[in-house]
Amino acid sequence: MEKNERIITDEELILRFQQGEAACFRELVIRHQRNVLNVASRITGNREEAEEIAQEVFLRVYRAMNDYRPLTKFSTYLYKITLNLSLNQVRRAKIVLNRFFSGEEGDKEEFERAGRADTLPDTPLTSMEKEEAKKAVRKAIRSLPKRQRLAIILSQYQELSYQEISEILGCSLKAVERLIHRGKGRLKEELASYIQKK
Amino acid sequence: MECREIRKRISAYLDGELKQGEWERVANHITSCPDCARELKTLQEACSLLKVDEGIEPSEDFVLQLFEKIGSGGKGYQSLQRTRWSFTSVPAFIRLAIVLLLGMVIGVGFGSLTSTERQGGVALTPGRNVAQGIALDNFQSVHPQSLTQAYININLKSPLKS
Repeated sequence: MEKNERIITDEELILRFQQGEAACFRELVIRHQRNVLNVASRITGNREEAEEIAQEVFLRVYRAMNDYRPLTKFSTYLYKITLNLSLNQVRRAKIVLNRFFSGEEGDKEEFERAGRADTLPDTPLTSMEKEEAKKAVRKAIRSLPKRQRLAIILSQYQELSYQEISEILGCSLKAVERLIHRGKGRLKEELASYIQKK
Repeated sequence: MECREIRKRISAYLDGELKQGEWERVANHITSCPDCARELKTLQEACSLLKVDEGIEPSEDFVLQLFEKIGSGGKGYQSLQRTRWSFTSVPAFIRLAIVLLLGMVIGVGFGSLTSTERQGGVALTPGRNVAQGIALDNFQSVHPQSLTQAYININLKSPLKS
């Protein structure tokens, strides 16, 4: 892959892949793997399942690459597939949506493998308080209705625009704003004691 | 603008999703309304608290595994779905029904085998012998209106009685 000053867009990478530059697909995977994995893990609540789903997402993308036309942003397309596969997996396995957020020991262990909790900047919380806060956050997000939860995950963790979220969830901008507003309102109440601590 | 209206837009304001005019209206209101300013601060803190959960990193061999699956036609995910199903995941009453059904099929099959007679390569059951015994000649000597007599004749010739 050539080194340019200008960042090559996803759409350019796809075009180059379609013209025979196979390495461009690898670049797309490296670029998006973490985001896809985290959305899947926040929905399924299970690291192994999330990894399998993330792999399946990229497999599907790979198979469709030659027919792909950039009608929407590539990331929107990617998140749509991720959400669909993750929700299907949740339904199929009959696991509770966002088991991850339950704060149970097994789940906690799963999500501590990253081991990055100590790198939080500018926060007065001690590591024990961070763990407590993490549990509380997971529980609070778990308590949200499904669509509010998806909207919150996409906006607060994936930092997507309302426009992109509306395309992914298939609803209007106003509806996204309402979902996020209500979701944040509920989170604020659920996390009130932790907010006061800070 | 009323506080109530402003509060509906505070989330979008925080996320930078308001158009210039709306953004200014909300910003101006907040500077002059301590209640809405407090609401904004609390929401901001709740959102920053969410970031305490930073997510996970992909496994080191994520890309390698993916390319192996691409090479093998992507069988990994299918196997995940296959392994997820097991007999124990089926509800107990369905399992019981399956076991009973299997038992019946095996029992009937076994019973049928032990009671058959091999004649010229064709298995004949007692039922079949009865059917053979019930020939049309039972009816030939009987008056057409004498069905009772025909019935008696059939019973007398039945091999099951011997």
